Amino acid sequence: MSRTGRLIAAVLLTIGCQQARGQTPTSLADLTPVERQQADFYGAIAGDGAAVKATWTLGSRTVILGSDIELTLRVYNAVNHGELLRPNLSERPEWKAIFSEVGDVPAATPGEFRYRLKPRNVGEFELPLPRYRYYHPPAPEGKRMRAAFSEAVKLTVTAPVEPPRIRIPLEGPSHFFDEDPSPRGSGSPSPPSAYWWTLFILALLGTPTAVALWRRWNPDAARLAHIRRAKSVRTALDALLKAEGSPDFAERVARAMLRYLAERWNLPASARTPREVMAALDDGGQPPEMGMEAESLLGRCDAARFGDAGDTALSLPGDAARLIGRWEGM
Amino acid sequence: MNALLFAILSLAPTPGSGGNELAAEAHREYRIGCENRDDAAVARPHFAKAALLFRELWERGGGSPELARSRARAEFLSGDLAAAIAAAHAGLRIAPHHAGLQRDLETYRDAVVPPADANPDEWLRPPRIAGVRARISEWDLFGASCAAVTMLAIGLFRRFTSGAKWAIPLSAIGVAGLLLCGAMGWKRIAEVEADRAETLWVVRGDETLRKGNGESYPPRIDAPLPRGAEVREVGRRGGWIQVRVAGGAIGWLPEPALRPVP
Repeated sequence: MSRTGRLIAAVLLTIGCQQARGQTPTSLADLTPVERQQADFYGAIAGDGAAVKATWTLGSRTVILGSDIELTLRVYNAVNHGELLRPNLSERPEWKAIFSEVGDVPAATPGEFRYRLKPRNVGEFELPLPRYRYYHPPAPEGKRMRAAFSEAVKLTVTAPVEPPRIRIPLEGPSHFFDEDPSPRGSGSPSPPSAYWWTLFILALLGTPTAVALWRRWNPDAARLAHIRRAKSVRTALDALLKAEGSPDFAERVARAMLRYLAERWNLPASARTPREVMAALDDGGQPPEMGMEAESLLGRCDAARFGDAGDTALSLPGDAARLIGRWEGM
Repeated sequence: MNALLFAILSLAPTPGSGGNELAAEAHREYRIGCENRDDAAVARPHFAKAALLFRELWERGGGSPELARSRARAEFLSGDLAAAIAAAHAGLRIAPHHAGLQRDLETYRDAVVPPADANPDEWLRPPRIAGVRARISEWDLFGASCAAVTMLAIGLFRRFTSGAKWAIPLSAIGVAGLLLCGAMGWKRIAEVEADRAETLWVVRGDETLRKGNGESYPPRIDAPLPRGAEVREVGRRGGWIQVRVAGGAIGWLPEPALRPVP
């Protein structure tokens, strides 16, 4: 090789070496199609000296069932933040099993991806974070695809807390709540049954029957009761009844008879002796036998008062009562 | 004599007392409802349960005014106004004179919201239960009749035995009393029969009174009849019942919209 040729080769070799050292891929376009289509590769290319780091962060470790929670993926140390691709979580079965909804939320910062998640069930879950691979140029050929380390992320889903219930009082009349309803519910009597009405009718029909029986058993009692309608008769008969058995029965009988004759037959007060009584009754227009009977009875009273033991405390009042009954028309 | 009286009274029929356990449970549910009256959501189910138990007691044949009153109150407090009114009427069927039931019925009627701008020719609040039946019970008449018969019996007995003068006026009072009781009883029966001549229904919920027995007929009254409105059956056809409202208006209502008075 001539001197000129050697000089040109050296220049080219230098330039080539210089290019070889400075051509670190900084864009997806710098990668081969095979490299770009690697599984779990989302376009991150590491810079010199630092590995790509992917961190998954939840907005909160705990969420109430029915609420949403935000998951953020941040990629550090990538030289091409603008070309990073969003990992699609919504189509992954392991994510569908935990979350009923997996939505994308726009992020303001390059290299940051946000997701809105809605859990399905109550429980504790470790999120099935996808592997995040990146292109690491300093690595030897064939080993340049590396996985970024991510710490596990756990989520606790709790049951929703029921809101405190507002107590509304029941409206109604106060006595509905105060009065004690009947514990048995059947305390009121039913209308009078046939039994009671039968007794009622029997009592009504029994009156004439009782009257008839009484008259049959007490034939004179009715007539006696009739004559007792007159007060003078009633008084005399009561006095004669009291005279029965008393020591001074004769005096009582005489007094009762005189009073009776005075009230009932207008016997003058001056007529005291048996003869005077008989005369007064005859003068009064009474039947002669009435005067004689009155004289006879009063004479017996005098005899009994002054020692004659012919009449007793029972016979004399009884005869006097029968005499009155005959005069009254029995 | 005492032995005879005891024997007679011991044969007298007494009111039935079946379903004690059911009644006790109903009472217990009612009491729990009362204790939770500050929280309607808690109290109402207990009153509903009590109403159900009282209804079962009623259907078993243990009907009485007190049972009807308890049932009506439980229905009202559980929120079923139509059932409360129906139960009150059922109790008044047995005892129209029951003042407590009459008062409660007026309370339930107060809760019925009449149609706005109601026309008195079409809608009126039903009148209070009045007449002899609303004041006097069968036992009142029976007691008065017994007193009259007693006076008559004593008067006749004394008149035809001792001939007492006071027996005649006493007997006259007894006769007059019997005649009066008879007249009042007759009037009472007539009022009850008149009340039962037309079946009483209670509207379950707001329902439109129509001119014919079908949804296609126009309304008889613009505003729907309110829940708890009382109507009398005039006729029926094809699952619809022709009714008369208290104001006099006549129209048709579907039978499922009405609750019968048991």
